[in-house]
Amino acid sequence: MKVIVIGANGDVGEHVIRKLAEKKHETLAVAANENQIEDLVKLGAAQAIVYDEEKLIPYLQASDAVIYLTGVNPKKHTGKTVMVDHQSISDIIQLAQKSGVRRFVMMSAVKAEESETDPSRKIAAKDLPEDMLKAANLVYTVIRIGQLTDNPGNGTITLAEKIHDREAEIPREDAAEVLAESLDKEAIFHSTIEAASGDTPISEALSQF
Amino acid sequence: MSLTDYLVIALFVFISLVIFVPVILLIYWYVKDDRQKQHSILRNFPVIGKVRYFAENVGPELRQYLFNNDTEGKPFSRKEYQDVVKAGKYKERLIGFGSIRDFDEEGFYIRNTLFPKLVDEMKVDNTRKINTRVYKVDGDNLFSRKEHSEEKLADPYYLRDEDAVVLGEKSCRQPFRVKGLVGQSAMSYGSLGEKAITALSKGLGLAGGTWMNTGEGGLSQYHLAGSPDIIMQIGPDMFGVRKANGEFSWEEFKKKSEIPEVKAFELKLAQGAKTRGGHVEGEKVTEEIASIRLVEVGKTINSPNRFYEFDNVPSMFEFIEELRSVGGKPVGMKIVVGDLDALENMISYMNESGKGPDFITVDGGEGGTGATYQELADSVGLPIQSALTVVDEMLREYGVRDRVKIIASGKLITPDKIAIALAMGADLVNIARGFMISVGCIMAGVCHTNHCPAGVATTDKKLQDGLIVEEKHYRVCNYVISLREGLYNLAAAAGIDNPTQFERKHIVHKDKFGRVSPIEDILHAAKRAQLQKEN
Repeated sequence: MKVIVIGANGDVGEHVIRKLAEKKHETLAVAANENQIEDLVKLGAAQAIVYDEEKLIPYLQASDAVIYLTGVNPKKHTGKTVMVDHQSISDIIQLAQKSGVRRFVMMSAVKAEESETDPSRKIAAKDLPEDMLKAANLVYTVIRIGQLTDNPGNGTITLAEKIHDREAEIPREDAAEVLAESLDKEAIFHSTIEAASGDTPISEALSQF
Repeated sequence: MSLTDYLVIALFVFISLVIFVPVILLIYWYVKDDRQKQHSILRNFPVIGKVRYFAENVGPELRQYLFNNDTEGKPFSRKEYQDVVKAGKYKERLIGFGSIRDFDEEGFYIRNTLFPKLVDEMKVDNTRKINTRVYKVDGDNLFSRKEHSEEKLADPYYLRDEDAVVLGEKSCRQPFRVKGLVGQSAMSYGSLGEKAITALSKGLGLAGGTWMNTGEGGLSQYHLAGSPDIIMQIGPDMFGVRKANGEFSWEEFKKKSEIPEVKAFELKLAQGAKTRGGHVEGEKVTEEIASIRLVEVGKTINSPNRFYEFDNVPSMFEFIEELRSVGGKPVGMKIVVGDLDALENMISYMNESGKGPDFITVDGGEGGTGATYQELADSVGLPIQSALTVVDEMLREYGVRDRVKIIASGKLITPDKIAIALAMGADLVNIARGFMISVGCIMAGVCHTNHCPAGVATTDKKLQDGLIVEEKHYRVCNYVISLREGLYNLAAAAGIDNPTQFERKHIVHKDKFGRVSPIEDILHAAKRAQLQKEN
């Protein structure tokens, strides 16, 4: 599968690129600046470019799927202001629809929904990108992940519509594996799921959801 | 007998124990002290005089733990010691409430820029993660401290391939490329025990982008335990590369150079930190040590303080050429800078002949792990800050700087000190005692006695029981990674994208009165001093 990874230069992105390469996907890594290109190719991206909406269209047309790694930070607790680049996600969703990419996997965080119940509107719209994606004509999956850690991956997770422990952790390596594995798992098409460390092997958890 | 009688007897026994025994002991001491002829204090003040000797005996420990303030201990203060330990255990260097450095004192400072580099702009290679273990503190109370260790995928902070430092790039069949700037300085097996060497080898091998110098005691299986890159040191005693009669053995040298982990060789001139000939007591020359060093079992070794093979620059360079052509790997030399004329002669000959070492390890001569004589450790050779700039400048003057890399060593155990050495002209930095601390050294100062309480600088099996290789090797790894991360932090603050870019202009010396002067002042002063010596 030809996959575009947007936000590939982040902590999770590095692992996602490596995991996709291991699974023999052809990856185009989109990074924030020139300096990260070399590393992303080294990690296994077939090609790496600097983020530029204008130039993205031909790449999107040639791709089968998009993995979008947002800047939602699960460690940012209640009361923090918006940490997501809404404009960018909105643009990418529109571009994807225009270019005919069908599959769209977005990384979000378990805390992203906290704004739903926030009366102050201070942290409003952390979940706005999720809503934009649901409204679009795409085969979407929103994967909300728990608090990220630097521990090595276990290869096992728990997957649910809503994980009760809002502080549940997940190693970055496992989060990346979930994102990379989710591309062709029909069970999670058109859904929003939450993932944290658990006992079920990642691939199995995603197929049986 | 009645109960009263028993009680009286019990009372008598009790009194005799509590009163008579100590009194008899005191009388014994009194008589003994009074008659001895060794100590005048004890003759004049028997018993009471003992207090002096007791207090003197426990003084170093009391000072280190209770009375020295955090910044004043030597060779390393409590603060410096803890910096190393924390980096090894927690991979953490954060502090609260500011520095405790005395800013009124003179010292070197790194010049920061108004517009530092962003993390995204740094030229660092973190594509391969390292699977290490770090400690996490669960609770820190007055009498108890709970912590657990957990696995962690750590960023290694390697240099990018294009920034890697290469020893012997043009001169050798197999140049040594290293993707980090910090390695382990020369420490021999025998000086350190097998467990310490194994832990260091495994930790450095895990961290990668670093190297291990064997010390002159030869290459042992313990050095190879974790497959780190190795610089094998050759001292005047030729341990590990000698014939039975003490002559250099080309056959043994060739064997050593074919070991893939061995990346370079280093000739130790003037005994580096010790500036004297080595000495190993016969009882320490076990079968194992004898087979590693290629010497006779049980026989005391007294090493010469100079190579027999050469006593001038041309013959030394011939020897280096031959080592390089036989081994195919870079050959360097370790020196302590003292006489600038001798140094200048050598460097000018490098220019004339086109020959010479691939790297020069400049040691501050502060004396490290092994035993040396007090007078040599204290006052022979220039400390690293003066020596480094002088060597760097001289190599530039004679146009040979591009052929020779400089490795600096001498108490450079924290990222800021390393950065300052890099700015002064070092290409790489060697650390010995920092690594000893990372495997458990508590600075007891008894390396020369074989009774190291931490099981580091000892070959005693019982004492080494305290050192668990599996636990300590992660600390070694974390310490190196932490130093490299710190160097990137400092580079960013100085406005450069990786720590190989440090130059003289990035640091400055501040004196007691707040006046700052550039590093070039060291050079002017060194030249003036040398001129005065000549006149």
